[in-house]
Amino acid sequence: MAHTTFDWKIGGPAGYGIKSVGAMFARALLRQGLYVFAYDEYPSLIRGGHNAYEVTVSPDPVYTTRRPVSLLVCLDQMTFDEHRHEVAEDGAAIINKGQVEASDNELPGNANVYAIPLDEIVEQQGGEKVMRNVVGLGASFALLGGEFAPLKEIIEFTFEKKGKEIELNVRLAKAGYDYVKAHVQHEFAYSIKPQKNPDRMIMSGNEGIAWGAIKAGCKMYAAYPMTPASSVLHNLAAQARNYQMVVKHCEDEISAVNTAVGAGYAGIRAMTGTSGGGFSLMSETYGMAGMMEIPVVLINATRPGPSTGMPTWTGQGDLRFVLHSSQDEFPRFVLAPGDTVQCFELTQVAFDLAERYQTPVVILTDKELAESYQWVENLDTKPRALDRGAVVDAKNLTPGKLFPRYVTDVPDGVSPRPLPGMAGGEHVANSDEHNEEGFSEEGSEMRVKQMDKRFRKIAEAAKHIPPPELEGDKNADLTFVSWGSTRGAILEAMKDLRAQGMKVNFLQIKYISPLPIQKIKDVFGKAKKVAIVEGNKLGQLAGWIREHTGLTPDYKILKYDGRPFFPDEIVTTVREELK
Amino acid sequence: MADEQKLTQRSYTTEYTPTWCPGCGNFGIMPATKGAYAELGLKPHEVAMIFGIGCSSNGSNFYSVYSFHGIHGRSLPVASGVKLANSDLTVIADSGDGDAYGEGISHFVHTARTNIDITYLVHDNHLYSLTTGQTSPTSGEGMKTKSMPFGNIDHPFNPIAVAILNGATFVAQGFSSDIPHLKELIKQAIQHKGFSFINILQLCPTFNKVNEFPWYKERVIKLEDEQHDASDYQAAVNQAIRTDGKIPLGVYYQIEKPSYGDRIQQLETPLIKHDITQVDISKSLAAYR
Repeated sequence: MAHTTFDWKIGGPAGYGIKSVGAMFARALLRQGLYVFAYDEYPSLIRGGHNAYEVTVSPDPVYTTRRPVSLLVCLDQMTFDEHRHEVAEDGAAIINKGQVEASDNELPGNANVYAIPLDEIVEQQGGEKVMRNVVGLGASFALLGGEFAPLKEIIEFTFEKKGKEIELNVRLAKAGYDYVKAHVQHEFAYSIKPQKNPDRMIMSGNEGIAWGAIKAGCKMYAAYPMTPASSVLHNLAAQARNYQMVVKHCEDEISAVNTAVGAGYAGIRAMTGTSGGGFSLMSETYGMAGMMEIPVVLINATRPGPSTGMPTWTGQGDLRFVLHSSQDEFPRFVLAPGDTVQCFELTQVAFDLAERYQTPVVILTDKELAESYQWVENLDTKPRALDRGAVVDAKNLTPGKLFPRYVTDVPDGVSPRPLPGMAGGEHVANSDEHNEEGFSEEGSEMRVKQMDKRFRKIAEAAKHIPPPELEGDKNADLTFVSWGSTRGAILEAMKDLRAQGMKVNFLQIKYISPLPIQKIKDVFGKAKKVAIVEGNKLGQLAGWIREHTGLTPDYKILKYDGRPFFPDEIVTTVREELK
Repeated sequence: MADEQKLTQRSYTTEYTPTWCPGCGNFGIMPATKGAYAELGLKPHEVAMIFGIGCSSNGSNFYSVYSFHGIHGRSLPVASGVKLANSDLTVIADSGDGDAYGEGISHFVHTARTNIDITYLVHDNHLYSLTTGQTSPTSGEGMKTKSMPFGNIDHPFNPIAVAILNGATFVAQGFSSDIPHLKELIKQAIQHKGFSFINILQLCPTFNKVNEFPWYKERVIKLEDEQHDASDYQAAVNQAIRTDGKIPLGVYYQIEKPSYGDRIQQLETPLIKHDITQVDISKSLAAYR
């Protein structure tokens, strides 16, 4: 019996449609009722580098890339050389015959090389060299025992959107498909097993954020492009007219965040997004919004640093950064979604928190989450109730009087907020320390009152955030604690550890700040062993938890090589650590 | 405070005592600004003034409008955000020369390019005065300050030319010692649809001992006295770069051109008035299936 969970990977030179063909593969299988997770690996180049796209497919829910690679499609020699060691012992590599030199014994175990003349087929069919990716796609489907019709449907869907040669691409895919059917007799160890299609979607984390923002009534997105945050900008720009929002590509990140803050101050829901470098530029304004108590949502889609770092790779090194960025102390609201659905949901929560507590709110993601595409179901797309916070009713204002914007006699730290344009709401919104009227004031008593007032907001919010849920087995031998995109790898690792007879569970921290302290204490208190899993060198969440609870995990599983966690790495580490 | 019947300068005045030095040019610019608001019939709540950081920006405490005292160099992008959110507001960005032409120079150039319908008032005293008088981008060559004690060796920045060349559709220069003239310029700037900019030459009696009143008196001329045609781009540029030592006051350049808001259909109704309680995205998600 062939395995129905498999991992397909295609690689080739940058500029040869690796991502586009990968997306077609993923979508074709999604529409056959299978769960898919697609991971895009590429350098910070448009041409001249090496790209790879990897799709994990399963009849059961799959949460991240599961290696080894079952089928590796090598459009060029570099793909084979770079990735041949990732191939499963019973897997295979399709190579571009004539362009790639490879033999079975260069692959692990009994894996086979199938040499298919991709370029030759393209030439015969009258296509261009760049179209060999589509031939490889057809060949892959044949080897995996898939039907051609669903593939054809996706090619038509994709090229119709692009307005390009649909018929030629279908013909190329069919030629690749037929070539394998005619020439490969060997039964492959992995196969496509279609299921009833429950109408799932495939969506990246950034797309989840974009749609969450739209649904939350975000009326402005101001940004400057930076990988891996840029596709939030692209998606919102594409929808701006449909949903009547303004998407402004600003001259730099400083302009972007100040534009968003200006919009938040004026009363609309506004957001900006960037990666760590851009967030560094935004940090002064981040603090300004904290001081002036202005609602705004900021996305930091992390990539490895410091500095330019590894622009198209992943990491979780910015947790401490967003918790401390900008001078002095102000309440930090930091949310860390762990999958696309959480991106969608927490973005909506972020806007409510921003307005409820009159504060900047950070959504912290990373490249793995932002740019990987995963199956999504049961997305709640209907209108939802919004929390617009303590905006005063213009009718209750007294025209001709200044409004005391920053009153401190408020138990939850939230002072009523008039919006520009309301008669009687005039005030100074002030980045200088200020008195209750908003005027600059530097007296020690008022300074302390205002600081304490601002910090009461986070104390209040801490009472209302939903505590995280412990997922998995009761009385577990091991409890994973983590945040962000590591969720997927942990869920997959848990499957394997269970299959090996271990009891495991998982606490995902979505609210980094305010931190659900009591729940963490409870979980640590009951756990037999705790392992914190993070994509950084120092164990930043572990440190943050220790700072708030005094608790230390038994193990820290850390990774900072620019790659996401792969489930087998976690499994191996756990087996070794917990012998 | 605001009087429904008759708006005067007092309608825009807070109880906060101004902290500027005696003789500061800001004491001329503020009444010109408030006078312009009053004569245009702008109610205090209809005005959002976005300040940066500097002596002039401390004026944020002295205006009883929606006053926003932000951070150094960033008044323009905040002002753009406010205007985009609520285009019913009259939005004024108010900065000094250090703020506008030093820290915030990129925003000056790029905001001019957008032609967004806001007004930018820059108090230009050729110095960083709040930090006790260091060289600014508009300091003259050779000017000695604490930060350049042997004299400024940098070429002075030309804000007027930069604004004209980069898409501003109203460009003027005023003088803090000629309040009635400045007030009229501010009125015209606010009424202009698009990005309007006034460089306001300003005395700093505490730190600027070079560009004092007699120095200006010898040099300033009025463009209206020279029959300058402000709709003539080339003539405007020529005035901005003139080399006879004269300093023209008045409107250098003004043209009609669609503003940023005019070019975005989403802004036909101010964003603040959009109903966001019923957003249904369900019909848009077919592309993800």
